[in-house]
Amino acid sequence: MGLQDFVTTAVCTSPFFPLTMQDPARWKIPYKIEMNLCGGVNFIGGKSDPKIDAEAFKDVFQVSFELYLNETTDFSDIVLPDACFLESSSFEIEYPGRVVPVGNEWSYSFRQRVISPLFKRRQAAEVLLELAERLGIRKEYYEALNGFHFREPFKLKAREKYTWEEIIDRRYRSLFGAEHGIEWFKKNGVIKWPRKVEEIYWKPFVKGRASVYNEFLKEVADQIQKVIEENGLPQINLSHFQPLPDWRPCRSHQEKRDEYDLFIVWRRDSFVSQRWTHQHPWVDEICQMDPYMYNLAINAETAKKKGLKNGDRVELTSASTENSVKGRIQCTEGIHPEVMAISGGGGHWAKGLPVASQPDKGVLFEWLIPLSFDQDIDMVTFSIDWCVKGKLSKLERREKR
Amino acid sequence: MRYGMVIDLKKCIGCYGCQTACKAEHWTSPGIFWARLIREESGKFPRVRLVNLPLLCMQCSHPLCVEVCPTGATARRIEDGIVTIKTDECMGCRACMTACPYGARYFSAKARDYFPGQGPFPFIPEHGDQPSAEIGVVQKCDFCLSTTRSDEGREPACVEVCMAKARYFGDLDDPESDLCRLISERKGFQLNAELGTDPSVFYLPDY
Repeated sequence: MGLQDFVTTAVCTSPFFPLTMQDPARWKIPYKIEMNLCGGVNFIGGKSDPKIDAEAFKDVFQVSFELYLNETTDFSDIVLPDACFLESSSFEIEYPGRVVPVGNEWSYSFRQRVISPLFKRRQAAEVLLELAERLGIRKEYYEALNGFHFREPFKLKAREKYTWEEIIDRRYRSLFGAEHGIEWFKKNGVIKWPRKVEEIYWKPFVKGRASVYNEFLKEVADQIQKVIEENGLPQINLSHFQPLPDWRPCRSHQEKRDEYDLFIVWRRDSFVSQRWTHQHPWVDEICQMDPYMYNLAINAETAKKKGLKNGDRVELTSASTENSVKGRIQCTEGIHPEVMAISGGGGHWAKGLPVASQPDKGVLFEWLIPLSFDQDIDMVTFSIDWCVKGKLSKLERREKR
Repeated sequence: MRYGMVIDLKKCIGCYGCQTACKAEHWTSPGIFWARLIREESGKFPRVRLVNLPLLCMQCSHPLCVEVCPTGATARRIEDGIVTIKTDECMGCRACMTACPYGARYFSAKARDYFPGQGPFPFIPEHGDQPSAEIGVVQKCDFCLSTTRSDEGREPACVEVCMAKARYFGDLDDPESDLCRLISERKGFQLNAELGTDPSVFYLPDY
C-alpha cells in the first residue's frame, strides 16, 4: 500500500499510505484497507496535512491500544487502554539493531515493569496473547513471535501456553544462553560484552566504497517506467533518479507570491519526543517556561519590520496547503531573517489530551505540509520535503484559537 | 565541611533534566522548581549564542534569607553549610523570598495538582517518598538532604541525572576536591558575588 515494492530504493517510511488507501485500484492494488490494528501511535498529522489522513481513515475499522485518547483514536471504533512503559515488560523487537554501544562494551537491555498498572489496565502484548487464545490461533501467533530470534530449545511450542513474561524469558534465553533468562536480567539489568577493536574503529576494516556516481539509479528508473507501462499505472516523477546527486529547488524555493515571504521549518528540542510528551505535565511545564517550544520563532529584526513583538498572536498560512495555524511570536536572534521555526509535537486538539490540547500549546507543523506524488517529495527515498513558504498576519489579542 | 556544587555552563545543553529529576525526587507542586533552568540569547544574528543557566538554592555562606527570617526557621547548618527550613517553625511570611537574590525560594498558598483531584501524580503512594509540597510554608532545594540520598552516599538528583555531566557535587573545604580544582582551573564564578552572600554553587564559564 505504501508503494515501496514499486519504488524499491525508498528507505523512508512511506508517506503515501493515506493517498493510495483512498484509491488503491488506481495503483492496481487488488485489496482495500478495511481494518487497522494499532497501538502507541498518533499518525493523524504525523507526516503531512492531517486532512489527507482523515480522509484515508474515515471508513477504516480501527482498533487501538492507547494510554491516552489522541487524534488517532478519534478515528478508532474500539479503543483498549494500554499500560504505560513503566507498567509494561517487553523486549526490544529489533535485534541486533538495538544492541547499544557503551564505551568499550556492547549492551542489550530488558524493559522491566517497575510499577503495577493503574486502573486495571493491561499492556497490549498481554491482551493480544489472550485474544490469540480466544480466537484459537495460538499456533500462528507463536510462529509469528518465533520470528523475533527465538531459537531451540526455547522456541514457542503451540502445545504449551505461555504468559507474556515466560515468552520474554524464552526470547532472552534464545539470544544469550539458558542462564540469561528474565530473572537474570531482573537482577543484573543489562547484559554486556566487549567490543572488538574493529567494531569500535570499524572504518579501516571495511572494504566498501561510497559511490558518488550512482548509475544504477538510471536502471531503477527504467525498470519502474517499464512496470508503469506494462501495468497501466499512473506516471510518477522519475526525474529524481539521476546518477549524479544534484540540488533541485523544492516547491518553497519556487514560490513567487510576495506575501508568502517566510520559509517555515520544523525544529525540536531534546526534552520532547515527537508527539508523545506534550501531555506529560512536567514536560508541558517546561515547554511553557522555554521561550521557543510553544511559540513561533522568528528573527527579531524581521518581526520588527512586520510590526510584531514577543507574545503577539499571529495566523500563519501555508502557501502549499492553504491551511492556517495560530500561535504566538517569539522573537529571536538565533534564526535567519527569512525563516520561521515551529517546534514539533505541539498543536494537539484531541479532548483525551487535556494538558496538550489547550490553546497556545504549540502548533502542528504538518498542517502546513502538502503531500502529492509529483512534488514535495524525493521519489528516490520517499522523504518528504519539510520546508514550506508561509505568510503571517497579526491577530487581535482576543482572537480565539 | 561545606557542601557545594559546580555547574559547567560549557557542558550544559539545556535539556531540563535537572529540573525534571528534582520534580521526580521531591514531587513539588506545579510552578515550584527547586531546580530550574533559564535560557537566554546572547549576541545578534548571525553571531548569537544560546545561554543555558541552571539555577537552584545557592546555599550561601552568608544567606540573606537567614538574616531576615523572624522565627529562625531558616538556618545554615554549621556541619555542612546547607541552608535548611524547619517547616514546623516557618510562619509563611515570605520575607526570605524577598531577601533571596536568586529567586530560589517558593511558597505554595494552596494545594495544586498536576492532575486535578489526583494529587501531584496518581502513582505516588507506591513510592516511599512523599510530596514535599507542603502548604503555607516556604520551600527550596536542600541538596537532597531531605531524602534518603545522603544516607545512601548518593549525589543530589540533579547531579546524578545530568546527561552532560555538567554538575559536580562535593566539599568546597577540601582543596583536593574536583570542585576546588575546577573552580581554580576554569575560573569558576558565583552569581551576584558582589552581594557578599558567598554562594556554595559555582559556575564554570561557557567558553
